[in-house]
Amino acid sequence: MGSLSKEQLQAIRDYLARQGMTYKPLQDEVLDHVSCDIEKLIASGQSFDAAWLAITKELPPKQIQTIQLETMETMNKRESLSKWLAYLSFFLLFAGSVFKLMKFPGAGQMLIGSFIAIALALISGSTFGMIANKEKRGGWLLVAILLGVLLFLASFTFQILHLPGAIELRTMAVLALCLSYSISFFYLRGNENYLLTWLHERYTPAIERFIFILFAAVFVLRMPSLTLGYEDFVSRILLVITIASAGLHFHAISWQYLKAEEKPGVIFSLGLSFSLVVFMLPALVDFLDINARGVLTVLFWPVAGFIATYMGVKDGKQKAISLAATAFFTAVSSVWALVAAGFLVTAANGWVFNGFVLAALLSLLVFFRQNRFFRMYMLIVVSHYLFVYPWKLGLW
Amino acid sequence: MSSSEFIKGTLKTIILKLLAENKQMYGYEISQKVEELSASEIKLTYGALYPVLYKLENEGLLVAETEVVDGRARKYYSLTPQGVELAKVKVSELQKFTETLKNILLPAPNISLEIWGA
Repeated sequence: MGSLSKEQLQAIRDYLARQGMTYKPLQDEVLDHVSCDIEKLIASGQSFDAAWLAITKELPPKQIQTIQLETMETMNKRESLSKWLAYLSFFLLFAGSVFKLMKFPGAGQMLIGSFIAIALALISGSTFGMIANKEKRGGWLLVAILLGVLLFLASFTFQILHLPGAIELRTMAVLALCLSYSISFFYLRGNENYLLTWLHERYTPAIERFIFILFAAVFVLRMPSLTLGYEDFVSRILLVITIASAGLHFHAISWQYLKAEEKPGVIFSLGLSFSLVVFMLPALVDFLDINARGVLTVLFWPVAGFIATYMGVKDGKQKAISLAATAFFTAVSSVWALVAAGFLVTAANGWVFNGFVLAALLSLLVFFRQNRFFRMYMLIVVSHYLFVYPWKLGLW
Repeated sequence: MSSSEFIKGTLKTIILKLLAENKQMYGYEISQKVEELSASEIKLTYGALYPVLYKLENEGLLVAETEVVDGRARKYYSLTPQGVELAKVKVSELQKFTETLKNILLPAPNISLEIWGA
């Protein structure tokens, strides 16, 4: 059987994704199956278009959605320990946020409980993955990343409890994560049988659910402090965790993208490594001065925006919007950096300007909600906006 | 023949049996093998095959290994030791069941009442 061209494979993948088959391992498998069916029809004398038409009749859009739903349902039937721990962490996170808003005592303890539940969920999920997939390689990379995440959560626990060493722990965590992610990137690209990619693909829907729920909670929690003009310690910590989780996930979905691709270019690889460092920037507030952070973030938005567009936006109109969005936020970020460095007056801190920016960013997040690369980029952008917003001024 | 309603309850056993005989197979290969062995009487749809494969993998009965073939990821399934054991049990159970079914579906013997002098 003759093999299909790269463009034909992409057209099939886009069709599956458009019809709702977004779970990557299943999408890959059905793509291979459909391609084999098409190749068989082509070998019997049909054209690609005729074969494609025959397959789409056999696999109508509604059936594609049903396959994904049924597959996810069968996978989720296993009530794992990590799933219950994840539920517990959500509950504690929401309860802690509500307690904080209502100024009830115990919010900090609930937040720490939530971190412990997340840590235990990650440990149990990874242990299960390692036991169930002994034949897969790269268990040490998973352990290295897990250690980095645990150090990260421990640093915030130390901070909430006002224990010494929080900054040192966080710096170690950021270094460990940047190092282990960069090594993982060079090991995992083009390789299929690594434990880390397998686990990440399997848990991608759960990871994205976690990030969006965290974002929703922190958005609500952040609003009073932004509108009334005071800094809120808890929402700041949660924002750092949201940005870091979304950033690490953004980086990890590039493994999935690069798996079936040819070797990525040096510029693309360097851009991805650079973007990783910047995802971690909010965690290093106490370590780097505001000017250094300002320069890095201004450089970061176009780099990550181009990467997200390159990997995930195929449609011409959407590509124009994604590039315009990238340029827009780079410009806004530059203005902020100049204000912070004292080169511009603080006019850009006014609520009219920032209210408009927030509304535009949220609209872009909603617009790209179906695009797994760009929506993650936008979520990081909005979270970063909420993090660096000049809270002292308030919106009113 | 409308085989889909019969296939639903037996697909798990069919997949386990095929994988017990062939060291490793991928989705398309499984569907082609079923079609070939059933002389095109049974055609596995995408919707029937993949949820069952994922379920068996999730239950620890199958392990999967992925290879890039012709620029696309191909997932090869094979049985775990637990899957090998279950395949034996399930195939034997299904064989017994089809024998029983055969007895039920056989035409009833035409007993003549004449022998009773009616």
